[in-house]
Amino acid sequence: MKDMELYDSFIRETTDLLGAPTQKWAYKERDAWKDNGESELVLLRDAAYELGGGANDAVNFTCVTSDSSLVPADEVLLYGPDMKEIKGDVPFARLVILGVKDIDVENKDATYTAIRNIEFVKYHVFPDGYMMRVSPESSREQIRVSKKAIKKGISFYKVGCDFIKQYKKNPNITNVRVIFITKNVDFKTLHDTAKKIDDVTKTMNTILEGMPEDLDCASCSFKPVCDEVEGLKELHFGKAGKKAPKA
Amino acid sequence: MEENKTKAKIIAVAGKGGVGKTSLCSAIVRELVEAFPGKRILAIDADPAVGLSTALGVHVEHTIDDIRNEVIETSERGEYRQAIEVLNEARFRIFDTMVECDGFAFLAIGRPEAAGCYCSVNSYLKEVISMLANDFDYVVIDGEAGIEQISRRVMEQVSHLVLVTDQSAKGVNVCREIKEAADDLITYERIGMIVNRVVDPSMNDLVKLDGVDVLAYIPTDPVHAANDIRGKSVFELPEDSNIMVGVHQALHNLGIF
Repeated sequence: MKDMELYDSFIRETTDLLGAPTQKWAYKERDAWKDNGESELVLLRDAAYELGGGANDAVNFTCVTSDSSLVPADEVLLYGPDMKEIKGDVPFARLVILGVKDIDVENKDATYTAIRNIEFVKYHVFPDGYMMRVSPESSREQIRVSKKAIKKGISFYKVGCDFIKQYKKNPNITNVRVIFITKNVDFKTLHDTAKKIDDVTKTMNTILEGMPEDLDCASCSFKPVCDEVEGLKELHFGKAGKKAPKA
Repeated sequence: MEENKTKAKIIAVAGKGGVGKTSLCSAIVRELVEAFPGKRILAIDADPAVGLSTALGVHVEHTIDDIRNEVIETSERGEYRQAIEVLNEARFRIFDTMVECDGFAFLAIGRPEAAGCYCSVNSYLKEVISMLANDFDYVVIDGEAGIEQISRRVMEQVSHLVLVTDQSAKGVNVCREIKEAADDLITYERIGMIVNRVVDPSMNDLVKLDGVDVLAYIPTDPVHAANDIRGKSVFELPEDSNIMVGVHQALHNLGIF
């Protein structure tokens, strides 16, 4: 299914960029950190530190793939120090790679609903003592970790397991890789990747929401994205029962 | 969670312009901070006249109006976002806008650049109050002068409504209008009136409003005036100043203490 391969190049590039993780854990549901089920306010006075806070870099993106070789297992990867070792605000990234089952792209409503449900799981994960602030506009994600949570033994592995647990409630998701970064890496490239992923997602949403079948690509604001990312034109014109115009 | 969430007590201060709402509001914040040091207290300056920050000694860099304008700019660029994304973006930016001080957090509505109408920013303020109310134990709102924010349901979630008047018929009339609008539009739990800047205590009996208890009569406060002109915050006022004594009494009578 073409649309779930739209992000594969980003996944490969990011994997190459990051190299070997500092730590890697296999997912165990029983190790998932407590989830509150609703957002929690951690004031600065109650926070041990803010991941991605202050002038530090902060990035978040999610990629979806139907290529099982890119996400062979449920796992949590950490690049940099773990929560108990961190003493102040640090750069931060949380990247998620989701393996998904094939979805029938010819069924517009089902595809649209499935993709939206997968996309929005991230807004429904609320680890205890871990206040997430997510900016879809800037792809930033900043986390205030409470002093109480640190005392209780919160870790990236446990929070990662909570994310995976929540993602796996979605029947279309097969495997999940959650990547946390708490050290200086090439954040510029990660930001660029996040921007491209956001563009692809917005374009895909627009197509699936019902783009006119006879739309002239030359007059479309999404043309640069479609030109760069293989599969978007096919998603649009394939759905419309037409062949994608040659570039 | 850090603590079990409880329903926030949302105290709004409303009344005619020039009766001392902002001073009383800042004194309420100080009283709460000192009485409940472990509680989460949010002060919202909902008055476009912008005075609460100065009274509380808070330096404000960004306002709710800034966030609203940024969201509008994004939508005007034609960038499509789902509702949940817009909500998360707003939440992200609100915490950048919120100033965390010693014992309380602070948000300012700001002064919209488009002159005349504050309707849109008032609507946004209503959403912000809804979004944040249950994250705090106490929310104190310094309202815009007059009836606008009540009639536009900005104060919809207010639990304790404090009307402020001076010893003038106009002041009482504005309080009456606010009460009538609030009775129709707000399901508040408690309401009361503070008679502020009392010059002649013998006239106090004439300052009354049916169905509303007077929470306190507060004499004109020269200590507060001196504090204000020196650019000092409410936290530098003596505890026995008229305004601090009066506000303490008002909060007691309102059932907050």
